[in-house]
Amino acid sequence: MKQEHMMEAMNHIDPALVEGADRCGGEARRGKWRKPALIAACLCLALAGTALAAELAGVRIAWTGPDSEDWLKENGVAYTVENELAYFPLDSFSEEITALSSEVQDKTVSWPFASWDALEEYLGRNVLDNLTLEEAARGPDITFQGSRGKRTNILLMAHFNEQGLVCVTAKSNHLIDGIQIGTGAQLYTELMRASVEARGGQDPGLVTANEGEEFSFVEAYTAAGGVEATITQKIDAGSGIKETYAYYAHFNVNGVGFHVTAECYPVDYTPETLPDDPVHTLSVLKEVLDGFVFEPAA
Amino acid sequence: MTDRELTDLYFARSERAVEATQAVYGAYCRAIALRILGSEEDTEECLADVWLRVWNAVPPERPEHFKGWLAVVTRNQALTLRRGRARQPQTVDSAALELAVDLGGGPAEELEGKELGRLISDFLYGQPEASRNLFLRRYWYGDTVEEAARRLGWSVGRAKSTLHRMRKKLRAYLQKEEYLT
Repeated sequence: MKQEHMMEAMNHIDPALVEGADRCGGEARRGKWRKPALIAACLCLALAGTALAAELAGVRIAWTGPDSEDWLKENGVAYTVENELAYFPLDSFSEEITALSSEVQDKTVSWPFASWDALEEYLGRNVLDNLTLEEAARGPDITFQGSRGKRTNILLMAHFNEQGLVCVTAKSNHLIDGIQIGTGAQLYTELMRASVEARGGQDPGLVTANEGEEFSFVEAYTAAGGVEATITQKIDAGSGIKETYAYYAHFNVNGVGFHVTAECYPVDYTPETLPDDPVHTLSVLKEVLDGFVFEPAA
Repeated sequence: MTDRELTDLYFARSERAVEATQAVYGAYCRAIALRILGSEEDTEECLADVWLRVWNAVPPERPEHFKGWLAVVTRNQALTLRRGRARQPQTVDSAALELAVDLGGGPAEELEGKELGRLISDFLYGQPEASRNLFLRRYWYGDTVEEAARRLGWSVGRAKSTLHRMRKKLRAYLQKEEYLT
């Protein structure tokens, strides 16, 4: 089709549509990231037996040791990472997803997507923009209930209770230079508030160290785009052996909880031959954190 | 001043009608014309013709969406002037080319521009509001992808992939309506 012909056709677009496109902008900024206020980082690395309380960019690491033996016995948690999440109004999500509450109750529904952009379009709001992930290779498949053979490395999960949508989790797997990168975002809706308050407050622990584990590495990292993340690694407290070669990063931007994990992903390995390349793993993790982009809300 | 009050001035043949329209929508029309013409001088000439056209058209017309109708008049006038100047502003042309490439082929070439415009309007009404607005910002207003994305608060990547999907969906829509092979 000729260019002039298309321009002529566009001259005959309904004026109501033209007018509407000039009004756009305010509503669409709903749900945009807001740059968190800079918090003076207070980094204290806790060794066994030492109390640690640090708040870094909305992520609080709390020692639940000697003063909560019952908690330890019940939950097997040595350290918890607590993250205050906002409760978003239901109308900040797409009608397509909130309307499912009439059909789905007390269930989790999952959808595969080919890209974070497609996931956001369906969800009806921005979740994340990351330049590093946009160029990264597809990572291992994420299995999900009801997949029926569908394979995906990007998954959206919506959790419904009897009242409707309570929580949304979005996650992806990518591969960068032999390192598997898992990225996740969690959003609470206003329906979650009542449920959480009935339980006595927000659930702790986006990352937990199980009984006998401890955090061997804790760093407050300010990424190139301004994201302020807490990076941790865990070891077995008794033997000092790394339970995992993974580094975990957590941060909170405007009430949305994010995590990024980085671990070596060799093609063939056994527990005895698992390569140890913590420097490279940590470097790739920081490269991903540097790739996050957010704009101040209007 | 509301659009109703503006059109009432035209119906009353008030001398204030054009002045009031310029006050309310002058900047808006200027931006549309400048994007197409790329020249301040040509834009001024275009706008002078626009105000005259509006004065002659209203009445008897009483556009339901005055602002949108004014935008269409401005765009038409700018394109007419541009043909006479043989100038090629980048963004509007690149936008039209981008759309034309994906929709190229078959009977659509034979369609009157008015009919094709109506079909595209029908298609757009069936799309999510944000995607629809992005499409119009890019292909009607001639915004760059970056400008359109920024306006909606989207990443450039998201805007590009959405525009790509919209073009594909429009093509499928026109094929379904048997206007494309």
